[in-house]
Amino acid sequence: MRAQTNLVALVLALVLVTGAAVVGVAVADGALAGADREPLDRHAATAVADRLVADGSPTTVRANALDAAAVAELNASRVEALAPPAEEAALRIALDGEPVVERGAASGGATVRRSVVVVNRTGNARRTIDIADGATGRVPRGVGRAVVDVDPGPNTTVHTVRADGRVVLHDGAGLDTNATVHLFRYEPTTVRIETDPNATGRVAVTYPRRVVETHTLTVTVDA
Amino acid sequence: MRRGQLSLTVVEAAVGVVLVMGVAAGFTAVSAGPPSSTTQLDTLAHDAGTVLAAEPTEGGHDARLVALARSGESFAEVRTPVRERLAALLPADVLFRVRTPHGSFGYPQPPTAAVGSATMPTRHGPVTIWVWYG
Repeated sequence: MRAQTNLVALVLALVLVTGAAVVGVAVADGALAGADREPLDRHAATAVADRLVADGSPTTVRANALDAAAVAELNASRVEALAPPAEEAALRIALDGEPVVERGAASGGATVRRSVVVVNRTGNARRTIDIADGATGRVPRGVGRAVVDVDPGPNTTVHTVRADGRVVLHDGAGLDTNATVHLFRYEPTTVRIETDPNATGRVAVTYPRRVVETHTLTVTVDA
Repeated sequence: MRRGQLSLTVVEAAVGVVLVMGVAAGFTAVSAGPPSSTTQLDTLAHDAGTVLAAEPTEGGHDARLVALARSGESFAEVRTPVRERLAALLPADVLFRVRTPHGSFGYPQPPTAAVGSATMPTRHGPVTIWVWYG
């Protein structure tokens, strides 16, 4: 009788210990799976991405807006100067999958993705307006300064050039000039020519072109 | 052995259980802290908010983010362009939801997925962006 009581106790004890062991291994497995396996890679990739998109970084025009010219000149040593944690590690920086900087073969490692816009400020855009009384041309938003080149044809007098109703150039005797005018940059501007009827010639409005593209910046570091 | 006394085997088993559980508790204590996928998502939400805060609306003076929070009318006006803008900004596998003082839009938020968020203050109230892997 006593031996059988011990048997029940033994079975109970075995079930308890086995159950505890299973739960313990499950918890340990979960902890191992959730653990950051590559803390150094992740730290380096985060640091590089943060400094590439930060406001005031040499590669940006404002926070999260990369300067296309600076991105084109980017190389591994410049990235290192910007973010020392990436030193001597395999490094790949890509915009929408297109590599910008590549050093070594970053096959594994840690990858950080950031949403950025790339602002391209190279080149000028030119709008030509054929002169007629009341002829208009449109300058897109974001342009603060434009060069207006008035080139009237024969027997034509251009009195006034207006930007959104505001007089920016005026000469009662006739304009024939190449002048920089200031525009309101937060709205599209309509440039309007005031001249005589039957006027000929051209007015060219030149302004810096800004093309903004949306990209996903991917930084992979494999130390 | 007197009656009523606990079996020695069961006492040993209880000690064993306490030992194993102690080790398991150590694992949970050490691995505390947010999983890395949420920090990544938080960063993406913050990026999207930063870009929206810097971009003007079409034909307006306000940034997109400010236009969302300003009034019910301006919210209704800019929600569709902002939705398209966010879809273009975020990586293709990331979905989003936006809450403003005048309403929410975006995808329905899943109950179980890891969700990153960023709250951007504006002078008309906060705008919150949630993102998750779809």
